[in-house]
Amino acid sequence: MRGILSLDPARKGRHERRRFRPVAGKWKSALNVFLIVYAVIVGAAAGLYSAFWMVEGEYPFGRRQAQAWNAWPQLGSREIDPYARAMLARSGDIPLGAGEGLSFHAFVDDEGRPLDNACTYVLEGVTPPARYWTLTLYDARGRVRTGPTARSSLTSAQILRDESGQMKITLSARPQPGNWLIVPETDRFQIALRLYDTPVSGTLSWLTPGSLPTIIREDCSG
Amino acid sequence: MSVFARFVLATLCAIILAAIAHITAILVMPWTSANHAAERLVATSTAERPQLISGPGVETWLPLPDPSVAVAACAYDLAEGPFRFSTSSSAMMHSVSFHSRGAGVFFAVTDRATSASGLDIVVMTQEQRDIFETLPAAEDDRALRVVAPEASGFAIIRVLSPLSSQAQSALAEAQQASCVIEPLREPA
Repeated sequence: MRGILSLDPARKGRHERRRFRPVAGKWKSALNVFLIVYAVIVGAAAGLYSAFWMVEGEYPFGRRQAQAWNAWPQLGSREIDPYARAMLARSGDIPLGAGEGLSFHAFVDDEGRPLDNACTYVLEGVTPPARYWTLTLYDARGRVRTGPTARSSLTSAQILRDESGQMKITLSARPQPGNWLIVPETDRFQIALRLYDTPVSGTLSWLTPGSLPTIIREDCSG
Repeated sequence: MSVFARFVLATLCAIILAAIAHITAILVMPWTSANHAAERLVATSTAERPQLISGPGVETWLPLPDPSVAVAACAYDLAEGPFRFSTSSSAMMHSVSFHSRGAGVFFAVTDRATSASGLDIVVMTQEQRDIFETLPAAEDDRALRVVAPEASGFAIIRVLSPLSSQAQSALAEAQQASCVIEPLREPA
């Protein structure tokens, strides 16, 4: 064998090609395995990460807006989208059914500025037709103040109105005359207005401007 | 095929796999999440009265609870028979809704739909509904019958307490409803 290789260069070349072919094959196999592992790991990780990223924060689809208020009417119906269903599963929330009512959430004032507990806000105007409504303040983590002096929620039965039927609610850390709610302790907070037994469904029509209370920021002196 | 072409092909496969993993994760989340309300309410399936989960002065796991509303729940499994949810007539505003993992809220009604004796709703599967149609009708049974999209789910009763002084009444009323599994009689 040694003699053949040393005596016949053509045969030597063929032999070397033969000797290197399996090595190239192994290299290709290793590359293929690497690329398959790469595709599976990157694909699965990207798919799962994007899925969990999508179900954090606000519901991505079906938002209806009126002034500073947002609602997701499809949450309480069979038309709920898969993302909202996944978000409810993650949060444990139980939405109001479309036949029960509708809830609106405000995170900013009428000028689009985030609600800040250092400021005083005035909610003024009317609410859409409903048998009852409730207005509740939540802190940045979704908690509501509790206790007899909490003053974090009002219902339509508790509200004081002026002669024209309009209401005015002050949100402030300091005591206020009339309808007053204490802002939460966290910097950012949200307001939820829930309409119980209301014809407002959000699926067929929507509210005109002025149908919901305005949220006006007054002073921010803390 | 060059190394670069193989890498591009693998990246395309990764993108397709990512899309499949994303869609699958979103679709199975209602069945796999331990936080799902249905999961938390499993223990209530044996109770014959709704169990309080939120309300005025009640500690709750519900996100963004309404402190003016008493909320009670009972889970059901229709494997043993239809599920009957009944409330007595009341002056307090209340509503009832039925939920499942896959369909979300599939039926909701307020006390405006009550008869003189209160709300009476029977949830059943389509098969049970078909059997029920073959049975002789009971004269005094005027329950509202709802076909559930899935065999298991939960019912929620909400009782509004418009004034602070009504909070205890709302809590009591939410727990006074009845939730029972009523096996169908065999057809004659």
